[in-house]
Amino acid sequence: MLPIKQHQGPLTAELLREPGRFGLGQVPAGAVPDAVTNSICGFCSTGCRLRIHLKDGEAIGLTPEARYPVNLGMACPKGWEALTVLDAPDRAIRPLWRDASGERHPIGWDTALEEMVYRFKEIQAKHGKESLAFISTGQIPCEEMAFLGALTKFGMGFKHGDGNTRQCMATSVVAYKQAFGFDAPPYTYADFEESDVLVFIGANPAIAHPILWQRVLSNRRSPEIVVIDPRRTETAQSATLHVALKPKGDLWLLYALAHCIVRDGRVDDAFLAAHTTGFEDFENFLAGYAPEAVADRTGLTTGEIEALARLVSDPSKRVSWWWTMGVNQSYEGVRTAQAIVNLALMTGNIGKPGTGANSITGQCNAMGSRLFSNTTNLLGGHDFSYPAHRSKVAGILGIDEERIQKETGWAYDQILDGIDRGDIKGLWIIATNPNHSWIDQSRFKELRDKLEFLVVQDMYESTETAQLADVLLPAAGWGEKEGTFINSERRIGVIRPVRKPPGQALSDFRIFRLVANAWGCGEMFAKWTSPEAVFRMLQELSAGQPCDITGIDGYDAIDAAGGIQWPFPKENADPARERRLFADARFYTPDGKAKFFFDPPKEHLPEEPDADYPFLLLTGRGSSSQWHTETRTAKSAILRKLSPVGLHVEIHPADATKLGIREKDLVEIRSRRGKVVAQAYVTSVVQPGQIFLPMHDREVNRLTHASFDPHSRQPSYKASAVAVKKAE
Amino acid sequence: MNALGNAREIRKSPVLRTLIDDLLAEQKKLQTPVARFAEIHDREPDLAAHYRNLIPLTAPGPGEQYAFEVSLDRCTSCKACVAACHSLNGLDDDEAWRDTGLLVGGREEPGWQQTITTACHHCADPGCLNGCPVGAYEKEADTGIVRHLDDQCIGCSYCLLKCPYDVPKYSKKRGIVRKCDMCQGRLAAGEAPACVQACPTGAIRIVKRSIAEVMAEGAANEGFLTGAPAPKTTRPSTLYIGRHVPTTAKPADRESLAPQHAHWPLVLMLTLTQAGLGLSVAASFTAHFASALAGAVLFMAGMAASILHLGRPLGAWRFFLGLKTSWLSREILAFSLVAPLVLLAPALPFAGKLPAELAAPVAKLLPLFAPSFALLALAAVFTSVMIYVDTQRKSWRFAVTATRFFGTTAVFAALAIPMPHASPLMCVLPGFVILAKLLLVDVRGLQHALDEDWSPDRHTARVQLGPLRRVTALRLAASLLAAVAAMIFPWLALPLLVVAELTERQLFFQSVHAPKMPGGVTN
Repeated sequence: MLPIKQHQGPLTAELLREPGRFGLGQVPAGAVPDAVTNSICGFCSTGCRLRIHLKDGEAIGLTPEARYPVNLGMACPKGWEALTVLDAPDRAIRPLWRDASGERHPIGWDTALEEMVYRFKEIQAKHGKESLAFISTGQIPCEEMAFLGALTKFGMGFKHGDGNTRQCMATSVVAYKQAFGFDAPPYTYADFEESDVLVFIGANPAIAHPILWQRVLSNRRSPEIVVIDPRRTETAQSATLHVALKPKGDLWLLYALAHCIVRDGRVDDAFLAAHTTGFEDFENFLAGYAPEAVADRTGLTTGEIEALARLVSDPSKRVSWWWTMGVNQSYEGVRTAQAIVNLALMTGNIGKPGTGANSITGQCNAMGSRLFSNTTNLLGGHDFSYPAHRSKVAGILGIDEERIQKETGWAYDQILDGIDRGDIKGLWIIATNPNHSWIDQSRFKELRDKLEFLVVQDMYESTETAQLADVLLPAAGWGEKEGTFINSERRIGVIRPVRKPPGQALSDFRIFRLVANAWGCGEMFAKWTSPEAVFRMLQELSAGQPCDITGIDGYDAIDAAGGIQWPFPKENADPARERRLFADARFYTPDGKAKFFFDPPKEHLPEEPDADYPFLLLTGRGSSSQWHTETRTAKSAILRKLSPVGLHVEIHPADATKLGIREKDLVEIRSRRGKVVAQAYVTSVVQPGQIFLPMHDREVNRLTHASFDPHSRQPSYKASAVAVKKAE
Repeated sequence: MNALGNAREIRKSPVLRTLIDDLLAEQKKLQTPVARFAEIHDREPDLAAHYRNLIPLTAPGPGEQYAFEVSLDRCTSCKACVAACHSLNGLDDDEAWRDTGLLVGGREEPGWQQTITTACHHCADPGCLNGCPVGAYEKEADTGIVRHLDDQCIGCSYCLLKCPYDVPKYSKKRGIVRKCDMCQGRLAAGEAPACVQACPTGAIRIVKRSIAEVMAEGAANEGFLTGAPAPKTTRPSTLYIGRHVPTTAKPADRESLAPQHAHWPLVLMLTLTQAGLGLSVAASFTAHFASALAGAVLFMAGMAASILHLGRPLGAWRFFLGLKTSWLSREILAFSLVAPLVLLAPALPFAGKLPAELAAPVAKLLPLFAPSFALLALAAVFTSVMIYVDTQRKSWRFAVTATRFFGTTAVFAALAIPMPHASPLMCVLPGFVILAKLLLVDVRGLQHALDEDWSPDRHTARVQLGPLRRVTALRLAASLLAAVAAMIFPWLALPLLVVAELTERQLFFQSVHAPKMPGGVTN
């Protein structure tokens, strides 16, 4: 007989939970692992370590790892969903070849390689060796970046190659390199917890780096949290002070702060004298930046500027400065980042706990690309133009020194200009999506037609860029391959293969092996048999550099140590789990001193709002569940659930009233380059005269104005003039 | 083309072909180094130290229950709680028992924003539990956790309507509802619920609360969350603390005009049973076979449709378990009682043809049939009305729902009256009743579209004039045509009126303002 109440049964059983062992606590009964392993998350540069639950060797689930010093058992939704996005139906499962009509046909690896090599060699024969270029990514491990950089430049004769890291980190790279003598973010995450005053500039870690924000909120020193941002972002909402400055008022403000600090004698004279150069010139330069003189530029009152100057120069407080894309993605980003460095140096806030001029990186391995991508610098943070560096690299890799180019190749935007001029005829794009993400996006599509041959290598066959490829090479993704990432605080971590990729997809590392072989330079890469073998070479390359990691004994040692921050040299390595740089105040410049850099801010924005285009368009992160062009995050139903539905434009109530726009109305946003339609989200999170669009939507970069920082060539995404009206 | 050498022959190279095969094979081998064997053994969860302070040390005492406590100042919109709930509970691809939304400051503080994380509030007086016809919800005596018994559930979805916080979710593939159980198994083992474990800033914790206090706060409509549905209905136990919420705060999705689920089987069931009862009751007064038969056909079609609304109809026999609190149970009972009378009504005209020994007693009872049938029919429709009134949704308040439901019965009853003898005067009656309902229900409702301030009524009117404008137009047109047709020939009006009332009921379901926790930025 059927019971009156059914407390048990097949439906109830579906939701049972059982002890997962391995210190996991309870897990779903259908997903109890028989083993676990560790892997660094493959989205952002926080570098959380995930504990991967395995059954019969394959991943069946994951949890953030509690004992890892970075994330302390936490992850953002992207990390939790890292495995889900591998199962998408639009995974690239075999090479595709696009015919003249644009239709794509599956082909074998042998044919794909032949087509790629033949067409690339044909282009080189016709237009010269340097007519081929590559654009890569901050999303693949160091070993793959190094392989790509070495294969293309030393093996295939490319001169030009760059990464999407140009879109996020180039500014910080140049700023650090000039000021500190090496691209060296000085901090460790513990500094978030040990600081008394944390100043975030153009950064929204609450949603862009949630796990770093966790560290801020675990600070027990009752810190002042200052957020300098035109928008009242999620981070600004929970700050103790939100400085809502005018867009691109940052450089003016930072110089004004420096002015006040010098004027009030709140500089650390002893530190300046002993460990820096160029301060006197800077001091003179600052004369023109009194708060009264620049208040208008910043949109702040002199009182606000003075108060902030006092706060950040309080000698009794540990002050740390943190920035991300609001600073980096600017036409004068390098000087802005250096203005922050200058403030940290002047006040002696460097090399001590809870201090620093700290760039938070973007992609999971942007920091790896900064050392090992063989693009802006020669493998291992070396310089293409130094003969000694070339010979060192040639020696370690066992290649002819003459194969190493003597000058740096072009930056991303210069490569695209090269295509426009007809200098670049063949392009190889790896794990990035410029047909969505590149500034003034429509131009990218036009340029594609000027290319004789485009190879795209990606996990998905559906990305906006993959669809344009003549040949698409199917790549394995994070979770299906091995290698190392370096996170924002210079911590090296290992990723592990825990899933078999679908179909014939291969890891980028294996694809490079195939291309090397097909190209005819397989011999040159005979030693490049596995990621770990390459890691040993990268260690050798790092010897004697600030990023020396010769003391690491292979992947397992990294894993066991809970990640290892560079430097970690063979001799006298400090085994501490949290290490910051410059405790000895010795910088990496030839004289060991940090250097002041400064330039007058530009009087005008590259595209100043005017009568026709009266609004300023800001772009940025939409939510914690979205990543870049969403090729991965859109594949998880849970991440989609957590993202805004549809494209929304933030517009201030005063502007909305003026334009007769009501909540949810369709709004047309037009720039000189294109237009998009979005739904109105009327909010004073943005200031009057400004609107905000999330960068993840495929249409947003149709609007953006292509201008670049002259030193870093980083695109300035965050200030374009647009017109706004109610859509008809 | 010398530089190209034998590039066109690359694919034939045996070395390359072997390498391709080797690498493809290698790629399919997973030789992941796994954690040391010692780690396999049972041990305290690695996160235990993290969440020790986020869950109570001891189980709730008498008169207490577990409750979620959310520190708004610590919640910074990372939404890991949702992903962890999904993942650690092994839920469907798009399923999570916790969700996030956004409150915005409104007039008082226009730039203010706050992410709201929300799961089941494990209410002191749970609407889901009270509404469930088959006892598929239980409030655990020792923990106060409101548990859903998946194998007891018949998938009637009434709890979806009863919960003001949009917590229970229907699983189509299983035909049942599922919801948050506060990870009771984890709590029992001293572990924190998934969302509590996963919050990077410790913004979610489990606390013990006095049930009497929760009840009292709810009764006073205090202490919950500005911008969320009032706590009076179900007495939610969740505490939102830590950040001042402006009194004008409102959900970011409040202006969203997305229509609700249509619940087609319910649209059919309600409309057709009410129409059938109207025809049938009127026919029992006029002792008219054809209209009584039409009534029985419509009524039984409606009853059949109601089965389609159940995900697992085989368990519906347990409906009596809910009679004490659930209007749905009472509706099932009322309709079971009235159904035989509906079937009997077409036989009334033939009562005289019974054998003599039966004819006498029947003749005695016959005058009682129509009035008692009418009373029972009204009672049955009343239970239907109360099902929706009891959800406490503003757009389904008694006056509105009763006018709609009894109105349907009335228009069909009015239509049935001239059916036996279509005199011109009698034919005006249905037209009059149809127009009256149109005025009282539709026209009166739509007026609210012009209201200055947001209200559930304005929402409903704007949904009807916005995304549902075609349905609204069809409703108006079919009603007017039916009114005209009735004057010409009542039977002609019947199908038109069925369409008019079905669209009325579709609008009833789809344009309702369904209370819920604040949602995110949406269309």
